[in-house]
Amino acid sequence: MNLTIENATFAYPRRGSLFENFSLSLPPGRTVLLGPNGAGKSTLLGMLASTLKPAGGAVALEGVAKATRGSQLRRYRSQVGWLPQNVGIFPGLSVREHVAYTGWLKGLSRTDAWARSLHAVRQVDLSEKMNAPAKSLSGGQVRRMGIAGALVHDAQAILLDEPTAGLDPNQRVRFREILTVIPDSVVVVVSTHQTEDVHASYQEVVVLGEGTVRFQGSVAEFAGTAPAGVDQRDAIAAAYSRYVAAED
Amino acid sequence: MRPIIPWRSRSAFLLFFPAAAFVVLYGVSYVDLTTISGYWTAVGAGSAIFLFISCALASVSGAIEGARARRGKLRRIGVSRPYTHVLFVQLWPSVLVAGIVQGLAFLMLAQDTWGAPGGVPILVPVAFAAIIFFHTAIGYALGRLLPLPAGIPVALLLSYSWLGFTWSVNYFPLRYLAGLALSGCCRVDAQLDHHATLAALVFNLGAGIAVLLLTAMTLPRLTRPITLLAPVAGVGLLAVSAVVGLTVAQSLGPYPSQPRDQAQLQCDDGQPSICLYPELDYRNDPAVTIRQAAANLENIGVPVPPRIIASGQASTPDTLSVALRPMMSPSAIIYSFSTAFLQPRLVNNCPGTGNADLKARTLAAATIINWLIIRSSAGIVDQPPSTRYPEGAAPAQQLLTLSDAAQLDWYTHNLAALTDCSLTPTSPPSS
Repeated sequence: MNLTIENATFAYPRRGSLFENFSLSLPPGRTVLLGPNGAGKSTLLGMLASTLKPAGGAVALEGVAKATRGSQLRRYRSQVGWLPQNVGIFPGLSVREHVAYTGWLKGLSRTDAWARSLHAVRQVDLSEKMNAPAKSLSGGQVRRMGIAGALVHDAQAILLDEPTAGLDPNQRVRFREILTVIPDSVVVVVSTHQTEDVHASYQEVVVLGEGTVRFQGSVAEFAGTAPAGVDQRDAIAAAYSRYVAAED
Repeated sequence: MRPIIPWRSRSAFLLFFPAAAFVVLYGVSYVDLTTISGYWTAVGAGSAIFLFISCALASVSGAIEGARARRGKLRRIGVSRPYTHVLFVQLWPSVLVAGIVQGLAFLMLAQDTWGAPGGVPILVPVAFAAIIFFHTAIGYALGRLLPLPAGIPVALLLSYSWLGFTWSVNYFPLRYLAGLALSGCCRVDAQLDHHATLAALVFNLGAGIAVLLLTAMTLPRLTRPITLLAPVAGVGLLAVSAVVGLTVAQSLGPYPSQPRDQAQLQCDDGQPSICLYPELDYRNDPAVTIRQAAANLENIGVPVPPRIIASGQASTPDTLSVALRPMMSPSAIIYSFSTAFLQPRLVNNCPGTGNADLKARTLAAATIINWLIIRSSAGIVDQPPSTRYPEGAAPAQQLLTLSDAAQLDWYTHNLAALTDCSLTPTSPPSS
């Protein structure tokens, strides 16, 4: 099933409209969302996560639920795993308790949330910190805990906003491994500035600029838009630079 | 089953111990059990005085839970559970533990009341729960809005000010919205006016829900555009709760009590007939003392009305109203019984007379009270109870040196003189 947003309009108070009649359909598999600062990546992910509500339009996980209101919205949210850019920390909870609580907030029973939190914490290599207070984690560890929170409830769509920000190279490799074990039937959308991992980690690329989709297609298609003569290894970065330059 | 938020991080459980210690200290230091013991209504309503402790706990732990949600950026998680469910899990320990503290206060006050008939009106604990819920909600809202170092003191201050401030205003219905004024209830001859508990219940429940509604609906401002309807609904509910509460409490005065239904009096067949509430004779029977005291007075010719009832109202020619409370000592019963003969005979300030006349009537009243106490206590207590009118003690002793007939004559004349300006009070003659 696809994760779709149709005819969405969104504006922050006292700022111009960021999205107008915006539509996008994201297929199952791993999609990377690229774009310069201010392009609207976090806002788009926020709308897809249903924490930002567009003034018009609709967000839906096709065949599962629409992000409307009431039980329909709750059902939608229970199927969407979400790592916001700024992960909050619930004081007084250990790392595992934090992940379990997030799972519970996403609709898991207490027993399931607690049981699955162990696996999620292990997935992000925080086993050693499992019983440590969540507030004692470093910035990178907090992001990993947030990723665990997005994975804990086996969602049909997983939205990760800058998940590798603050992670060291080893942790980024580990994050790539995590992505690859997520079933292909799950819609995974990751926003990032980093183009190094695109080839290895993603199947689909979306480039966002000024509230519009500048590119959507496979990684190979995206690489194909790079200027002629660019080395294959640099094709993604070159293609991205082309879109960003066009933006500027 | 493991709680989703671990016990150890629940502030309410940690705050229980200092709150409980405060309840015990305050109870031991400042609470006088003699006025409430034996009457469940008074014990239940009287425990309202401890709300300033339980509500402080509720508001502080509510603020801490609010801060937890705030720092965890709960709004940005995309919670799929109903808001009410999430709130319930966050706040139930605060309400429960504050309720337990309130229960502890009740148990302290009830220590001498076990075994007494009757019970606490069911609305009282329900109203207390609503009050605690409201303070929890206020604390939670502040915790969501303010950093914790500010949220806790502001929550405490607001909780304490609301309880204390409303108690001191002269617009009585406002007192009952806060609930602390319930502690003004009741002597055994009075009953709790349910308008007071109902007003507290309606307001606190409605206002608590309104505060949580406003917290829920206005906080997403940053992340979701809010409709005007939501804050209007919250403010509207708050206003409706206040108006309904004030309307319900409109008929109340400074005390949340009303005279007790006299149909609950249980009368014996004696002469005079003594009518008491069931709470009065479950440990010691004041009727025995009253009957003996009445017999003592009748023996010297003092007319005793044919009916003696437990009541704080004024006596009538047919009914002597004696102010009684459970577990009174014989001395205290004699005192109440004797002073009842002067109700409602108050010393008159007769027109055109000066201070000398008022002084003479006051002295006559003091003498009558002392004399009645001494005469009625014969054979009941070794030492007649001392009175609050020591100036009448010596004249009463002087009166006792006369014959019974002369004493009765003096009593009859001077009792009438207390309210009849055409009669002049006299000093007891020398024997």
